[in-house]
Amino acid sequence: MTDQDEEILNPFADEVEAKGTVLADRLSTVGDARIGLFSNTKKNADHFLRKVGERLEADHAAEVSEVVYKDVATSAADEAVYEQLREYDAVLIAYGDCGSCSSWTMHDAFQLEEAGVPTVVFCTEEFTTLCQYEAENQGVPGLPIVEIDHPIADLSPEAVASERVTDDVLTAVTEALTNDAGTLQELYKGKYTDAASSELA
Amino acid sequence: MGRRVYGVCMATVSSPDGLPVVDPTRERVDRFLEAADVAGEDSLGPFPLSERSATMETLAANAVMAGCEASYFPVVLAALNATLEPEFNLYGTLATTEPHWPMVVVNGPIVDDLDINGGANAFGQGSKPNATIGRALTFVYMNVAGATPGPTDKATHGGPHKFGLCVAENEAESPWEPLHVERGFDEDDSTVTVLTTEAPHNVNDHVADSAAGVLTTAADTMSVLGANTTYLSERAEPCLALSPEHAATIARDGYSKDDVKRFVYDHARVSHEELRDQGMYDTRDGSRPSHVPASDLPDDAGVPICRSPADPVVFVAGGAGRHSLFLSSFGDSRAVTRRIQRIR
Repeated sequence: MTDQDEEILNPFADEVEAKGTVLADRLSTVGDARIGLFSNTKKNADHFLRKVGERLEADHAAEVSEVVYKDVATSAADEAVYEQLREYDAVLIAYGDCGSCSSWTMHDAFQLEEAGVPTVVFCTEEFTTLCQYEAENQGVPGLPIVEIDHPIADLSPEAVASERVTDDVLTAVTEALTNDAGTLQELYKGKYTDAASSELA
Repeated sequence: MGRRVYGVCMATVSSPDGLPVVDPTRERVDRFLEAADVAGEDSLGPFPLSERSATMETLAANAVMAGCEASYFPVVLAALNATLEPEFNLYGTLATTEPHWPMVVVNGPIVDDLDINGGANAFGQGSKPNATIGRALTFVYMNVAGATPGPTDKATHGGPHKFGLCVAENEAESPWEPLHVERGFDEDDSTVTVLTTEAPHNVNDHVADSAAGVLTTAADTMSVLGANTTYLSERAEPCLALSPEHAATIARDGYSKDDVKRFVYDHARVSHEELRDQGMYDTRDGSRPSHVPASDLPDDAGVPICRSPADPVVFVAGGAGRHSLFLSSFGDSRAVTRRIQRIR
């Protein structure tokens, strides 16, 4: 066999087959819903969530929880935290603003969606591609990832509230909580990964 | 028939790390599979971040591309398998903005069989198995696990160790039991131990003539405000690679390896006052992140860089010279040791 005839093997893995995971049923309305706020402990995540919660209470009469924390951003939440969050009609998770915390934030969201709790993940613009890559490869391409400006860690709590919790963010949250799964898949599939698709394995 | 290609044209796709690669031909891949005594269609299961499973054939293709010899492939497989253990936290490690990445430490008879360097310049250039085993892991993390620098491997800087880092323990010049024996394996077993690490930091001590002297310098090097282990200390296993000379000086004072670890635990500390509001610990405006182990301590208390004296990972590596290395862990990760299953 000459060099020209040699079979060259593929070093890439086959694309993952869709697991058939679907998004949890969304809310009929944000009004009167019990919304859980879930911080992954990243700097300012709790201030961000509280402001979003204030807006949901003011604009929609939603019932918003105190911030629930997991132990550390670089791992999954404990089961006891998931159990606590499963009591809510929907959960808002903040936020991905680094690599490992983004991955584990998505993991937490997948656990809640599989348990039937609709979730919204907040992620700064630098990390939305990573988050959505994981969502698409774990069978949840429509999981709503609401993009916020980066960076956020070095802002004051007041600046987080005024500069990051924008009307556009609130609109995206409301849509993410109330649109049906098919609509969310249309809205989010490839939203952050398409531009990088030539680079992604 | 011309050059047959699956899914990708090797001639037009850049190599994962930018350096030339060896073509993964059928003949080469089959030799790798035979050397590891594995079936081409088997797999190790899914890899984060992509959750894709690769066949042994695909993993072998990556090891071929990285420049491995067939005899290295069992080491590559054992190391990949070890990093898939949940406590290793590959999911976080591949995506993180930190510079941390898996490192492989090899113990046992296979070190001599494959001539893996644990002596002079073990962490540097000059040894084919050292250079290519770690490189094979990096290729798999990029091609299979989907860790693409920029979009999904979010490292702010990365580091030269991400081209691949594999060393042997210098068992012959260690005064203590080898790492794999300490971790429950027989001396005749060949093993890999995988750890998350950033690029090594030198521990220079040319004057210490006692265990306490050497270890005081090491402990100081290991307790800095910028290291992950200073904050993510609950699960951290900070790693110290002692040179044979430093190890001999320490052992001469009757220190066991447990004594070394205890010294590190006791002395590699940052005061609570110094730690507060730095790095990953913020108390200023009522927001997390917090530091659970530190929060109940008085200001002048020293906060350890790991949870217990059993947590530091200590092994001997390197050649002549009065230097050791601090290998700072990702923090939220535990080292995993696995037996290398097959050697031909």
